[in-house]
Amino acid sequence: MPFSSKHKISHLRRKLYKFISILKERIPGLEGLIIMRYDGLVIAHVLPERVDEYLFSAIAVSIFSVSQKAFNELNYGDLNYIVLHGSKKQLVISCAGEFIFCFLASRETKLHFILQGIFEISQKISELLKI
Amino acid sequence: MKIMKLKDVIVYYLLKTIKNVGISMPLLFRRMTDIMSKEIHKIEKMLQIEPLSTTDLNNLVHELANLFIKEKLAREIDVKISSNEILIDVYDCNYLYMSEEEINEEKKCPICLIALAASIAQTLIKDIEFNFVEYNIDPRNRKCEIRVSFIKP
Repeated sequence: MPFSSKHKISHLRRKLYKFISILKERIPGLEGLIIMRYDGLVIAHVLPERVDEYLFSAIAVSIFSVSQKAFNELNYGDLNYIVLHGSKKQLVISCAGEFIFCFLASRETKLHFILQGIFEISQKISELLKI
Repeated sequence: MKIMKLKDVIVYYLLKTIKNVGISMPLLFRRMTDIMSKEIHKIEKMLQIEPLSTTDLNNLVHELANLFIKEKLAREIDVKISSNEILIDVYDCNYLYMSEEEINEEKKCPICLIALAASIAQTLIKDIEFNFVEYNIDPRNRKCEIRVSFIKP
């Protein structure tokens, strides 16, 4: 089955845009969020201005895919999420089915808020794909 | 096995290595589509061709198909465009041997240049977006059926 051939991307986009905008307001310190398909197709995003969503999507998917490959090579099981903790900010990348999402947050943002967000997005996507 | 050109062998192993470290071909394909469509005027100059019709999908896809024929990359390319996909039948593609099992164990081309051109066309046309590509290779008749799906917002 090809990527999302049976899924209505436009429908997903409309619903997820609304959902992630609410999520961004709710998680303290969350500065941006992007959801994309494994092939880099941007589904929805609330990224800071001047960020090229297409390039950022490809970078985030690459990071996740390469990390997943590392896990596979080491027989470490499934990769749940990746945290890139920098001197100023942090990125958290995770996946659900054929979708990958990346949270852009301040350094101080508590990881458990982001993990809760990841859980909610996963739930929302599976709920939308069932329709 | 058909004798390959050195540049094709190098490109084949370049793609194989990229895939080997965990970057998927669909991701690379999409990124390449975006970069190439942004640099289309530079590409027109590099190829020394007339400016492409970037306002009409049908014209653009046919222009690109003719370019492939002119470059002798395939003998014949038939194009049909529907409301959400471009259907392309390619006869005698020069790179068909790339899908042979003794070269590629997955029995499909690492990247289809014609599908890439169709996805670039979709990216160049405003209000539509490249979705995914599917291939069906018929080696007996030296024919490839390519379905390049696009999304309308």
